[in-house]
Amino acid sequence: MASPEPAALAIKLRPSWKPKGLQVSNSNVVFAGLGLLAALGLVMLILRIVSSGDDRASWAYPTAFFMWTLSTFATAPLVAYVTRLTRGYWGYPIRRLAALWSIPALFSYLILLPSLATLPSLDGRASLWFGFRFGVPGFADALTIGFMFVTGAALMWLTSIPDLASGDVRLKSPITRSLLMNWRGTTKQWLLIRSASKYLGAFYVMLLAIGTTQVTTDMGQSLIPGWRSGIFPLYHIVTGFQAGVAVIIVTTYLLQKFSPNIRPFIGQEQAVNLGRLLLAFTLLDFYFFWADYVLIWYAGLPSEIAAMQVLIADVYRIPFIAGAFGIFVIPFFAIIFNPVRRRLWALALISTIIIIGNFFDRVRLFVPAMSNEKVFGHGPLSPLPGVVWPNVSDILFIVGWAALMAFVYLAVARRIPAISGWEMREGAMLRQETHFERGHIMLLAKPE
Amino acid sequence: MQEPPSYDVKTIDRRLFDFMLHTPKWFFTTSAGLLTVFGAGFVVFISMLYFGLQFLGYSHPVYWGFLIVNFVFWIGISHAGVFVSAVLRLTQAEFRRPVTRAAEVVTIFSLQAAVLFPLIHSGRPWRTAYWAFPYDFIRGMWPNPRSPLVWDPSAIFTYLISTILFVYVALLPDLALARDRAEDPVRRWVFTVLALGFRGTSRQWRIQAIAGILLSAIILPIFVSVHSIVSWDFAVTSVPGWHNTVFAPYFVIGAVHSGVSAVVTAMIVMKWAFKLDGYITADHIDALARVLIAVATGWLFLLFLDFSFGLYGEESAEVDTWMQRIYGGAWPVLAPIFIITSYIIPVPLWLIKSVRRSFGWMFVTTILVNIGMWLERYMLVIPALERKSSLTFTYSEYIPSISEGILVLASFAFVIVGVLAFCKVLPVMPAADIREGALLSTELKIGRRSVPATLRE
Repeated sequence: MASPEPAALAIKLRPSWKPKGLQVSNSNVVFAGLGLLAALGLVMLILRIVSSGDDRASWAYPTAFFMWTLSTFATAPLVAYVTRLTRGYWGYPIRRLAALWSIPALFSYLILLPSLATLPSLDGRASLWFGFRFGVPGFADALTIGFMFVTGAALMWLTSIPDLASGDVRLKSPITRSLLMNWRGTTKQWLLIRSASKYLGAFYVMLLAIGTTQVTTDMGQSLIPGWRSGIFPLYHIVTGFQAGVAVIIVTTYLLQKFSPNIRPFIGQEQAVNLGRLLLAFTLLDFYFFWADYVLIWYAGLPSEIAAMQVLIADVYRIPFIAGAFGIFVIPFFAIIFNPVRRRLWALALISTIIIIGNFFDRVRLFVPAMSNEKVFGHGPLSPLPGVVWPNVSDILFIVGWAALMAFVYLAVARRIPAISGWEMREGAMLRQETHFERGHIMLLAKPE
Repeated sequence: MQEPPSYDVKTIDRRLFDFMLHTPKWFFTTSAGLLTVFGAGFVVFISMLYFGLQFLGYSHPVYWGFLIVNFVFWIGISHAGVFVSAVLRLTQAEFRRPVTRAAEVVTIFSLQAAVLFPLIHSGRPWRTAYWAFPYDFIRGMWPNPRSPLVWDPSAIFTYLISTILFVYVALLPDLALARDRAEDPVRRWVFTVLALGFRGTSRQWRIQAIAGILLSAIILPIFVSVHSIVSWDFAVTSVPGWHNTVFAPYFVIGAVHSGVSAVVTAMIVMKWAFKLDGYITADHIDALARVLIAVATGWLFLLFLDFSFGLYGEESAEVDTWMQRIYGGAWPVLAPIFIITSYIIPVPLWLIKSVRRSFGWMFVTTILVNIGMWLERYMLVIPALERKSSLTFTYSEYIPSISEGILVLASFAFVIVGVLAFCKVLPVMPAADIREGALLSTELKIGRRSVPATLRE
């Protein structure tokens, strides 16, 4: 039995169909509300820069927030890249809405820069930079992450050009024409877009891996003496993939529910396949956590045990438990059931829990690191530092910046269609429903 | 991706069962040569029993030599089967069809080869039997669940049994075909028993397909856990150079890298040996090469993490171990060979489409990968033991012996003979899968072009 298709594909896309910017009922009210909160977030950032100077502890929660955006919004565009690379037929409707998250993620760079400026000298403590001192860690980390964000934005822009260049490109202003590559849809231009998106995507993955390794070590491990874990950057990346998929699911659900021009394109096949991805990454999260924990528990080295007491067992036990339930326990025991994976609203609920759990996980990893005063030496950390709870300013910062992420996304989606028109047409051409024996079946073409 | 040409059912059956029913001369000469090598290994083993482990060159402080390196290497090769078979089946990759049987068979025999090495390494293998069976519960002795040496056999035997089950479920339709085609009454009787009454009814096909999918899903955690547990044999210790949390995924991805490369090598040899043109095409090795590019790059990143976090704490013992791995003994020569053969030559070549679609080039590059990955396991195990203690007067250099080299070659001979013997008795490719692939492949006309397409539920 063929799986139910989105209505738009079933009736074939009409030649006159063009993707439009986001249209949501009562969107102006939502937009205004988010805008106010976003402004609050920016104000809190400026206040923090002005008032705290190079006090690293005051940047603990903003750093955790940045790491959370690195895990969620910066990783979400990878879903677009991977489905394009693997020619996953179910991914066509969600690629653009995934790629759009690269723009809000870019804004979080404003949090990273002042946080990096508070990092102490590398002398006398463990670091990945060994004896090298020029421009590290601050400048090197800023450069890598900056390149990553720019690559993500470029990738999003490049793949949007065919849709943005609707109408006669010659009539647009010179700046617009050059930004749109004087798009005329020639074979050469299409080949360029395809190759460039492939290589930019690979570059983005590489920069994400290297950038994550750098920032998680410089703003995490190297600030807690005794914490030495080679798998930690990988753990951060994989939990990020899980959270990125969760962000896509929530975005897809909300847009499908509230936007009439998105609704026809989202069907059960998106839910089922995203659910499978989410399950796979949930299992991988546990695997990477366990691979880290079992070694440290087994070897029982005092310096490593002290670090684990801070991050897991003692000081930040509550955020750890919240994170563990949010990232693994609840999602795993929900997503293993088929009825949950088939329903987008159920997946969206689980994904929201994952996103919140991921935030708590980043809090328990980076708040103790950035607020730790005894960063020099090689451990064990003694006495253990106390827990640093968020104050009102931290909470306003987090709420404001979370709203800013959503605000920027909605603003961008109003101008750049959240459904990729040219990819939807390509998807419609490459699939057909046909008779097979006594039933209906799908025909999927996979051109080289 | 181009699908294989759609042969008719009779052609598929005839080609795939040809080697079972007719034995070419090269089979006898090749088997004789390989059995000779295996026999040499057996002679070394008997000599080791008589003279002791020092016959293999072991002494303080390096007690884990080639035997453990080979153990890890063959466990790594065995990961190909599940990756190719289970993962590609679950992702419905069409290019898996000709490859799955070969991958699963390589898994079974490489696992058996791997299991032999710890037994040989014990010096008195029969003692491992009467230490364990019966276990000395009466005197209050219990297995130590905290020991990776208890986790290892549990994981490996679970993997072996589940792989055999996995292969068997996939084999059922082919056993039924073999039963129906067998002329010899003894063969017919054997295949009748093994086929478990498979007649090709709708219900049997449905159950067989569901069993295959369920086993694919169940075997995945086992596949990840086996090499992770083998990695923890090293990582849970406090030996400098081993105590790194990244070992588990590093070993697993290295295993996939070497295992899939070994499967590609095996496929190319099978294509030449069994004349399977049209079944194993350039599209298949092209697709596997692309998978290998991603896996190899992931492996390189994990190697970078292992290296970086090994030196991260700037502990003198760790630094000494890494310096030994790069500058000590023969490593100024072997270390570059390792990285060049594992990544620097193969992966850039695989980025070129004509190389990916060339059987000769893929054969050479995948052999290079496995040479490099064997050196990688050697680099992991030996230098750490040479610098194990912080007392520098205990430092030594390990020199492998000829007898160990013979054992390594004997293990390769064992696996190849096992695979050949399997191919002689059972079809080298899943005939039912190939038939299904031919049935489901078609073309879709888009504009003026005909594009290969697949029927999908």
